Amino acid sequence: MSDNYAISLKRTTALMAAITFLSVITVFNLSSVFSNKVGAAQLESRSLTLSSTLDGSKNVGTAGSETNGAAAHHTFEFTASAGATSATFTYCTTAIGGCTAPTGLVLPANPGASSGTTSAASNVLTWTDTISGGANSVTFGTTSGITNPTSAGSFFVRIQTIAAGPVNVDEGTVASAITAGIEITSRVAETLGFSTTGDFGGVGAPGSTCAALTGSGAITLGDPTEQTLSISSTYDNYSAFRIYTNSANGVNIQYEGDTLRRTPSSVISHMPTKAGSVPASEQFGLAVDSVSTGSVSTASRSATISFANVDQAAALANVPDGPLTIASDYDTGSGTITSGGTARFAYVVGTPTTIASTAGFTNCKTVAVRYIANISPLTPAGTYRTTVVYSAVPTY
Amino acid sequence: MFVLLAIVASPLIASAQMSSPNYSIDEVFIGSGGELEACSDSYCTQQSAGGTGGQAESDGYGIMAGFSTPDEPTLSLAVTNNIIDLGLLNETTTAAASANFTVSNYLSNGYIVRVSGPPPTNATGSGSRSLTALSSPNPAIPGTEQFGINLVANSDPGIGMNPVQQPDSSFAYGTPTIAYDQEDNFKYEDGDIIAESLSESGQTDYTMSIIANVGPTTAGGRYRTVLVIQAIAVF
Repeated sequence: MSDNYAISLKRTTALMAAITFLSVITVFNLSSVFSNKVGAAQLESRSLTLSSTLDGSKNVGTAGSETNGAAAHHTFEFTASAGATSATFTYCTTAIGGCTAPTGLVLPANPGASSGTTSAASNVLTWTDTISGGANSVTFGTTSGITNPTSAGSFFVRIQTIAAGPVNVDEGTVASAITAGIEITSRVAETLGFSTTGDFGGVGAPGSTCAALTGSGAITLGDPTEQTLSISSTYDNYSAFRIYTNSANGVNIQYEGDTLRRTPSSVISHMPTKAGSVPASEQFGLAVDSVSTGSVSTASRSATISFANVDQAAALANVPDGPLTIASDYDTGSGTITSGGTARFAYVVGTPTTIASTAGFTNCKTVAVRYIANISPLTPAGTYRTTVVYSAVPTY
Repeated sequence: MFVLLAIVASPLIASAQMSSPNYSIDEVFIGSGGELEACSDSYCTQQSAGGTGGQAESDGYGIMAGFSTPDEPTLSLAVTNNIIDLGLLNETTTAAASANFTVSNYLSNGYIVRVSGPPPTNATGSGSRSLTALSSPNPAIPGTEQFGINLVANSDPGIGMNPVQQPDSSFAYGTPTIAYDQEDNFKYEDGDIIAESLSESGQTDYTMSIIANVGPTTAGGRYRTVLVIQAIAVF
């Protein structure tokens, strides 16, 4: 202990007494000071939530959406004392001290609110409503969105609730931050798988890859031994196509080709409109056969055709997979082909014609197409041929 | 209203934050050095000179004590590495990338971090299609359409980091919420709270791991989204 120290202890004692006295006085003085700020309590549990934290130059999407910082909604929550009938919200770059408005902030003159009425001037928003003693929540910008500050970083809003008089009631500051969004881009490759075959031995299970059909596309219409058509009965045969695509706007499957032709001037008439088989009249047509069985017999083949890997009617309409819609002229290929039979066929010459389509993606669809041919007693003898070309046209 | 007086017996008297008649005194410091116990009639404190001592709180009271403690509430949020290109998505490999954001706040009762925005969306023709967001934490599965995020380190795929507290965990307390804190499991729901601190916190550095997968019927085209991050502090 030194003299100086001993002296300072005495002084300290007196000093302590003086400070204590002053502290008591100060406490009371502060109480009286805060009564206008006096007795001003602090708003509790106060927060600010923005509809978008993007800066005010970002004007994408509707007002109040997360991508629109140019027309944002600001939601304030706070716990207040009862008795206030209005409040001011002052936007600043700092929490205390002198207030500078955040750069780029625009408070519309009449921003609108989820309750009560509002007005704004410069960086001060005034809300008039009965403020509950307890929890309060109000959203501003509901009529005319608030433009967020245009610079990234924090900003503060100083809240003051006011009772009639006017008398300041409660106060508090909240904060929020403007920031860049996380912009994510990616690309999904467009896909299309389309194949055809006349060899049903090549219609294997699609598997997870929707495996392409294989085998020859050549089919015959007529007696399986002599491959001749008849005026007393209808001959039919089948081909298949398989399709998958991720086109968002669907795909059209089309066919195009000539009718059965022997010479430039000698043809078997095609079926320009949907109709049933009429033996002894010239007809060439096709339709989708959405059979319900696993195999089918055809007079043009000596053996049955397995449809095990061909999608049946229900599968064609499988919504989760993306339905395949058969065009109305070609949707009745199942059924009998005797005179007056139930199956219906059509064929258009000279222009690509849609036989099936999807509205969007389709995972994997395998379709059987049925062909018929009839001749009349006047049909010239000879070999008649045609090539039917199928194409898939997706729209991404 | 609460007035704190920190008084130390000392040959020197130093005035700290003072007031005019119309502002409150939040903190007062007189003197330097330390005192084991300094008391008024109703309050006692242990004090020491030096840097910020730390935080003490009870249900109804909180204090930052030390030589110099700022009196201004703050909330800061910064997003970096925010331009993400997941590239060409395919059915065999999970696309993955990461973004970063930092949060700190002071003189508050904690914060939450909320993410909003749609999953990556392909706007084409008359409609738009979004990658299927994972509605609950699930692993990344190539060949199945998915979009998800988390805030931890992962091994499958190898992406991301656990949150880093600055300078260490005694000063910062931010953590991912339960659905976003599971290694190798991803989730995304527009508006979800993905991180939080239950008290004021120094800086926490978060790494957001982002994954995407496509299936055979995922529509072809370009996908895009903007995820908006918001920190909400309760004062």
